[in-house]
Amino acid sequence: MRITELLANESILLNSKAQKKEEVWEILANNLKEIGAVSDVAKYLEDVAARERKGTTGVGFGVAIPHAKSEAVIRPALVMARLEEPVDVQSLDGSQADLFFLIAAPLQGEDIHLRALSKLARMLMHGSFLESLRAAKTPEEIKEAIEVNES
Amino acid sequence: MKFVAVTSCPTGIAHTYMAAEALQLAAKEMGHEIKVETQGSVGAENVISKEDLTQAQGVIIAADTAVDKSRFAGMNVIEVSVKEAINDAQGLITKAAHAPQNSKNLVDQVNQLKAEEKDSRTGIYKHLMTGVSFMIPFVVAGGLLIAIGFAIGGIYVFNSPGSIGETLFSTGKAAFALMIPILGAYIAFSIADRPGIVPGMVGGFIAANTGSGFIGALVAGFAAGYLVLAIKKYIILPKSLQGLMPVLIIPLISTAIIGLGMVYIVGKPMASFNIALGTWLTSLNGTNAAMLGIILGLMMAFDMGGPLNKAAYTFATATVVSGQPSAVMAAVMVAGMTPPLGLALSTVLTKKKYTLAEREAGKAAWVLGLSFITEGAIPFAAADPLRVIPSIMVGSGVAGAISMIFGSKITVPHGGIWVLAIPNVVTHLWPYIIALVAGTVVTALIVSALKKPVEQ
Repeated sequence: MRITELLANESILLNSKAQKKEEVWEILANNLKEIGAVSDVAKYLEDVAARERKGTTGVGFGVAIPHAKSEAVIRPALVMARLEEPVDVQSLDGSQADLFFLIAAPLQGEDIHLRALSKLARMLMHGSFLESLRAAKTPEEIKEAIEVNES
Repeated sequence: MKFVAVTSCPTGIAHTYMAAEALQLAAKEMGHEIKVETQGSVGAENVISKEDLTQAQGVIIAADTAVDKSRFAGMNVIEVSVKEAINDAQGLITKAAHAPQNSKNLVDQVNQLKAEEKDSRTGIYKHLMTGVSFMIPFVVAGGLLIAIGFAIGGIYVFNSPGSIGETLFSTGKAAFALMIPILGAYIAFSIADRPGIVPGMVGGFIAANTGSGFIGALVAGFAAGYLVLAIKKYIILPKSLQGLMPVLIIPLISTAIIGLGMVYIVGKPMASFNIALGTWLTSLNGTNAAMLGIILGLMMAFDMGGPLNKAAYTFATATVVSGQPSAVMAAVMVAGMTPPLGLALSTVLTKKKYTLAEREAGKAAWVLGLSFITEGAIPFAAADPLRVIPSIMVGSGVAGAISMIFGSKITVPHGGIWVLAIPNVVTHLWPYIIALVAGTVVTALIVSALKKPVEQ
């Protein structure tokens, strides 16, 4: 399964003006609800916060990948936000994050979806990929960048 | 230089793979080689092999979960949190490269080779034990329910459908019906993880239905496990179709091959063998009583519910249908009781030679043996067939011979020790009890002597 199958165009939010990571989570979680991937936003956010308490998902390089396996998730999905002003996510490298990927995984995740997400995680370690995400002007360009790097 | 690494994080979705990628990128940039095993939510991938271990100069474990370090014993291991690998993979590799090297002298190398040999042995042993440990609860629950069913409804309980006794009896039978498929399924699971379950379970089911019993299921389980591994290795699909592997290709192909194999290679010859066996047994009727007792005893214990056992039991029940007391039936019953009883006794005599699960199963085996539920011995036999099966065969042979020599006879085809209390069901009762005790003790002594202490 390709990553872009998990990431709908309307789930790519460029130029977000959110000021805090919790605000980003909420915007993205509501988007998951709108596309029908999450049934209960409050419950899902609770699980995301619980995961975050186990250790920050601010992975450095300006990237944050909050995520949760949650019973509130109906189907696996990915939403992305690019912030105009980076916010603090307690990254280990001290950087502030401007690229957010929120991952929704159902409790009984199927391998093919999890594999797609693990591919995305690997791609985030490549500087050139992050550059193209930051340079993209439209959701289509984001997906293009993902597809180029995926193959 | 070559390194190996393991990455793992609590959710197993993101950090595991980011750390793996970071380590691979860093190693490439620094001109080193690294193999990174990811332990994520899809299971372990890119698993570190024995060869990798011998070539590796150092081990990096970047994990926030418990990673089994036993296979890295004696190597330079650097342990950090998964985030450290994401943020400073180069630093980690530098550290690993500069760690003091253990000088490997000849003695160490020899020891390592020995350890490897032992590992591959514990591999097969481990697969067997996994299958057996999943099967034990089925044997215990099923056997005891059947015994309770008999206790409530008498030995012809199955003739009164719908009664409580019959329902418990049938429930026990259902657990017994599942026990052989479960054995196949979890041997294959131990070898090939989740994809092994389907072919292993279906193969075990066919083994149960085509008369090859638990020995057929052992074959099916191992065949299914290694077959799945081979399919994973040799069938390479274009990337776009790879998603089909776990949901379609592996289950379909592996199950089809196992099914064909179990029916044509194992099942067909088994069927003609069964017919030949029945004819042969009938021809033995009237020969030397002790010899017939020994043969029936050996057959009862050999495969416990498999073709030989079934043939002996069917042969014996045919002799009691008319309600006449039968010496053959008596010998078959006592020979079917001693395997679980002897093993139960052995778990008490030599505790160190049994795993905790087996010792627990031993307690249930007392009741199962007394109830003439030979299947109570299967978990022990499946775990260590080459030592257990000969032992229980000798014990059953002894029991069968004694019973025949003294001419003990029985009028019912089932019931174990519980029918002995009923007057006139068994003739020559005391010799019969001696046969039971002697068979049990012989089994226990031989199996206790043959078995090796449990490897930790």
